[in-house]
Amino acid sequence: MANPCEVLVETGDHDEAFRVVERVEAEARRIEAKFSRYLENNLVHRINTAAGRAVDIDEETARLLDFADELYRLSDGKFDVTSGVLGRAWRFDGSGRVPSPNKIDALRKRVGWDRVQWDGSRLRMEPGMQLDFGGLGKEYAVDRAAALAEDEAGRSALVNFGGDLAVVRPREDLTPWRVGTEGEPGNPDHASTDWTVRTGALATSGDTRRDLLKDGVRYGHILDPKTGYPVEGAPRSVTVLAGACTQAGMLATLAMLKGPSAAAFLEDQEVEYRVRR
Amino acid sequence: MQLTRSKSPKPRDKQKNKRSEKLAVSLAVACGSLLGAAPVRAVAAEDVESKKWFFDTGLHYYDESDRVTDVSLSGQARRLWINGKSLILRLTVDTLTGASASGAAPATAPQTFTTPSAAASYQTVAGETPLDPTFLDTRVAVSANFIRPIGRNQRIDVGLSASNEYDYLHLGANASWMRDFNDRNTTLTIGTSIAADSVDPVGGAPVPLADMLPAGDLSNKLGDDDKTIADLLVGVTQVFGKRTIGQFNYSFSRASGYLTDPYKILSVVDPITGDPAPGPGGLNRFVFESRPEDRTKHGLYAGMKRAVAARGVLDVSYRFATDDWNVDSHTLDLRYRFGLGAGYLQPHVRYYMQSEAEFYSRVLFDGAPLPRFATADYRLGDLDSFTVGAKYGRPLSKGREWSLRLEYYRQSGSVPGDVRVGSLAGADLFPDVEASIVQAGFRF
Repeated sequence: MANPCEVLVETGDHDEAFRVVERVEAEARRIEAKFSRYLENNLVHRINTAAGRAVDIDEETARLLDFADELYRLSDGKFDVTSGVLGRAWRFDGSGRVPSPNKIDALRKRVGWDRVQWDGSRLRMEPGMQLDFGGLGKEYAVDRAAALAEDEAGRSALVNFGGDLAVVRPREDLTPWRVGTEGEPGNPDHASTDWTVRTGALATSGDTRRDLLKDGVRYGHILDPKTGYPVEGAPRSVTVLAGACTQAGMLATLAMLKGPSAAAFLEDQEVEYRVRR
Repeated sequence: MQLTRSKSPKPRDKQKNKRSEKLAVSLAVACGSLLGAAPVRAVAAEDVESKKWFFDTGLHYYDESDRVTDVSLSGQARRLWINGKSLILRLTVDTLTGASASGAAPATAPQTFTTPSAAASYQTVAGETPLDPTFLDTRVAVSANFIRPIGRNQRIDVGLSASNEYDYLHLGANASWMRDFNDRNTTLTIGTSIAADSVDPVGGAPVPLADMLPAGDLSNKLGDDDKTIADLLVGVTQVFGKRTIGQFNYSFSRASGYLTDPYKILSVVDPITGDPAPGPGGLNRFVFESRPEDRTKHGLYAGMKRAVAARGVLDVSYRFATDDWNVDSHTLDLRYRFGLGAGYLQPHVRYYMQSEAEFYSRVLFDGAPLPRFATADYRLGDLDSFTVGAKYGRPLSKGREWSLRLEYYRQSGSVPGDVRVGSLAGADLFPDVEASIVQAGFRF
């Protein structure tokens, strides 16, 4: 997942901790192998290279697609698992290159979950379209791994995949896990011990290390699939505390897509959050 | 950088939030279907334990060679709630037995003293530091504190305390407020406490600087007395990166009322021979000590904890205190905790030094006018002390832990050269005190 992953278990038993870590690692690797669009010989690769043919979908992937479908609806089409191709036009690498309107238009025609035929067991996509679970795969992996950690250890554990994390069960002394989040832009190594998590999950959308500056305009890396351009007025990052990591991550992403009204949106959801601009 | 955080919950506008509410609920349901839990578990799930009791118990043994022995039993019960509230109840019972230095100077001949109750008298042998051998005291102390968070960045802590021994009653109240800043890397604490204590010394509080009288004569004693103490503390805790945390405190304390120790006396000696001056009823002349009725202290504290290895923690602190009795003190404390087998070992050294109070006087000279204030209490003298020891702790499952601490304490002091007249020139006027400390604890 190209991210540091860690598991913290409240135990004095080395073997037990080791068993938890093994199961979490195995689950993370399984999910990455199955859903990463950077790998070949997996289901996502088969879908993306099906060239208009229908592909049989297994039960787990079906649940993810149903979830993506629901998200698409809830976000009025702004959360779209087929929008990954837009990211190829935008290089958030500090090069300062803004793609040409023609290029964006061309890519935009290859985006649109509403044009995907999904009946619950088979999926058919137009040639040139691409499916990308990058927007929810990590959060899903955290939740799955956390459930396994709870099953294995039966005691408090924290699963952290690159800053998206979940805590299962409170600690013995009921004190919270203290979580530092990445600090201000330009100084990503400055951590703050900002969150206290007893049970629940924390996820961040946006990345203080990635944006694009051109002619004095900062383009954030959250793209609006409707326009093909970065969402205007989007925060640098949004962090949300919720019951599950997927839930926190989706609320954070939906908030990013709200642009200037990200904080107002989260205020209405009655969750703990932080918006950095 | 601009930061927006969740605000406190507020009355909701149903109409306005209708659509968003639907979104949050729909999302939770969708997550439930995805993860196979419907709906997804809440932040504080109801099936998990939400409150708990924790107990800390300890047996503390302090033994000064040939002096005081203190045995203390303590228990603490903590009630924690998952929402961050906690209640802390403490009970300590301790028994002090043995002898303590009365303040009188040794003499070349045996000396006779009257007990504080004036019911009897006792003698000390020639050349020895006079002790009051009738010391026996049992103290019971209780306290309760309640701590609760306010919003996400503040906490308050309010408490009451009381203690009682046969000649002393303490009643106190305290409150403090803590606030986190700077992404919780900085915590500010402001605390205050007040205490109203009453002293009811055996036989009554002596008239300051009155002569000790023979047994049976209570005409130099008054009744009981009291004092009040107010404290204020301002502290900052600061996180310095991943491995280091520091703390800085300023404290202010003001005590007023009866601050004298009713059992401490001073010898009045001949300014040439150094021998005791004759007092009433065939006794040598001793006077009861006298201290000012106010004391204002200022303290500064700086401490740092640093994780130095996988399981190593270095803990260094320095404290400076000064007061208007001219007692300045410095404390340097160093601990290093490291993993040892399944437990940890924590060696500890501590150095303490203080200057004497401006009215400290090892003896008074006969014929000179009595000062307004005088004490020969070694605790207000020029002294330093050194503590060395180690603690071993062994965590068990479910947060239980037992620990054992062993320490050795040595205190030495000095007196001004001008009291070394005649027979006092070679006397040990500030004997060293040695003590051993054993503490056993169990937490569950």
